[in-house]
Amino acid sequence: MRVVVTGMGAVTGFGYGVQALSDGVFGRKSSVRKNTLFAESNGEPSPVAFLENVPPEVVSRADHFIRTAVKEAVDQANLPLPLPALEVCVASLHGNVDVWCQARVGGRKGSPDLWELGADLWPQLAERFNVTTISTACTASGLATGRCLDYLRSGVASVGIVAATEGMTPFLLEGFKSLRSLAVGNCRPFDANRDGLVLGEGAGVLVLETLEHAEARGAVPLAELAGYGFSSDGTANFTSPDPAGRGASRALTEAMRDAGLSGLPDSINTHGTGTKLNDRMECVALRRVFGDDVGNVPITSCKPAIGHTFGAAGALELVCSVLSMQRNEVPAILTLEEPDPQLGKLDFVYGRSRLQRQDTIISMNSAFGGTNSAVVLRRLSP
Amino acid sequence: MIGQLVDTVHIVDAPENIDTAYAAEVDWSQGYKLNPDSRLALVGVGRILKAVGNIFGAGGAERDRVALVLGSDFGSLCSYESFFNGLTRKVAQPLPYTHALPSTPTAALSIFHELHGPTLTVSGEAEVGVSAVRVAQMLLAAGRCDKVIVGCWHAPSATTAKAGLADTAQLLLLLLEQSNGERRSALQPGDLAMWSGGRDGRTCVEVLNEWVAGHRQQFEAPIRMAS
Repeated sequence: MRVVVTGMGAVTGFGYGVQALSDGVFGRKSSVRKNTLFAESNGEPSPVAFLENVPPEVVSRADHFIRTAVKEAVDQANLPLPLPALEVCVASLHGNVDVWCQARVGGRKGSPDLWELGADLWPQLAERFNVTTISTACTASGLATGRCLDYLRSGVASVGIVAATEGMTPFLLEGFKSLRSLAVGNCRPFDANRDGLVLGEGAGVLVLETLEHAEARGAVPLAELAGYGFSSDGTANFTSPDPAGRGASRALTEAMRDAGLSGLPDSINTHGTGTKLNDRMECVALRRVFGDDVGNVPITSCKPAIGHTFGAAGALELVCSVLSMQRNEVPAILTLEEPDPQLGKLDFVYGRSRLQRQDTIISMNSAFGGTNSAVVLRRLSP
Repeated sequence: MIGQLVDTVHIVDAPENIDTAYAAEVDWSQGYKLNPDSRLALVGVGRILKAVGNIFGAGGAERDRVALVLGSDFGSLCSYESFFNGLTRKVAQPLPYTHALPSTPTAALSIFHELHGPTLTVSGEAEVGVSAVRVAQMLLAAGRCDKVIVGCWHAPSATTAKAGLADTAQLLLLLLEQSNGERRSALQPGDLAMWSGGRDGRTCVEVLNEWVAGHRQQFEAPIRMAS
């Protein structure tokens, strides 16, 4: 059973909508700037990618983002509503933590609850639906995408929605500041002078359908979701990935097997956070899977443009990958100036984007605790 | 319904007793820093593995075929509270923040037991344990794993007290196995776990326990309770 993407929605630091994301990422812009959303504990505003024009009545940024992006994706897919059945896979690291924090201060029950993300949307879309919320840190939306793919392949539904969201909150930002994992300026994936990650917020939504269902109603697929894989490092450290890249390479191998991809992909959208350890691990993992041939695969990262959006990262990077396939253009790693020679000979795309046809793209993510995901996208149209 | 139900472990105990059990049953030098949620999960998984024996194959060769799916509704909130209380004093502490990531217990289990297969954390409301079982069943049906340890946990906190939920630490785990090792298609809605009830003052573990009691005969093999 083949599964295709028929709708996409996005909210990023560039603003509302996939078009704003496309204009930013492929226009060589960054939405990273000094935080003006709230005062930080040390009085020093951090560089973050955030949305400026959120309506003041919004109580939860993550809930607001998911609603906006779901509407955009469902509108693009032009689904015949209400659907008889819908599988929803939500992803977030902290859910509505801003509401929870306000409730703690106010001494009252907050609404929506911590994990009620877009909760009243789903009954409007389908007569029968099932919602699963994955909160596996930075791999949450990669895993949610994989779950949705398996559900549709199994036949329990013909349509699914991957809805991933993360809001910029003091809780998230102060948390990562306390971990001392933030870059001084913007993040610089794979650069010799990289010094950490930069946080972002937003939502990424994908409407998935079986190809049969999409064709029967005359929908135009944007790309095929061809396969995915995930794995755990199972090594002895919470915050550092397996330096040998074994877990990430297992996820990659599984995703390629699942997609029936035996050769090289046409590009790879890496997790590419800009931390010393993650970037090194990813390069090791890529070499484990592709050997020296990995030097022939263009490698990119969207995080200097939209920041690290945690629970939403995988879904937003898949949206970027679909756009990349449609535009025949691999976006540049915006801040990369001097590729780290210790990472070996790899084809990082930097300086300017690469105009190139891409029939298959792999998007990969890794997370705290050693989880790894990889998703394979394949072109459907000639 | 997808999966053979091999065994279950059900824990309902005072939080301080979980700490005692953790000290007695889990031998992990790194583990002294873990939050209560992770200690509870480590005790529970240790007990189910003790009950069923080695599920990782000779020499651990099948570690990548064992999955772990844990759900919680108010999971890790004692760590949320700890980190947030520090924030209100303008003291952001890294360890409480690390513990406030919902996936901390699954990460601890993955590291301690050297799991290489899929490890997922599911968050939600009262139904989250049943959702976790559904995720686990789909992993089996899709051929992503051969065995899966699945369940949910409840750790008491100020937030759960405000919600009127139990002040005991609770955990319910199931060990499910794939019946034939092949990817299954054309599933029917009844092949996967579903829950349509409300919370009614119950924890996610209490809801899952009720669901298991009502559905144990529908799994592919009869249930065997661990002590």
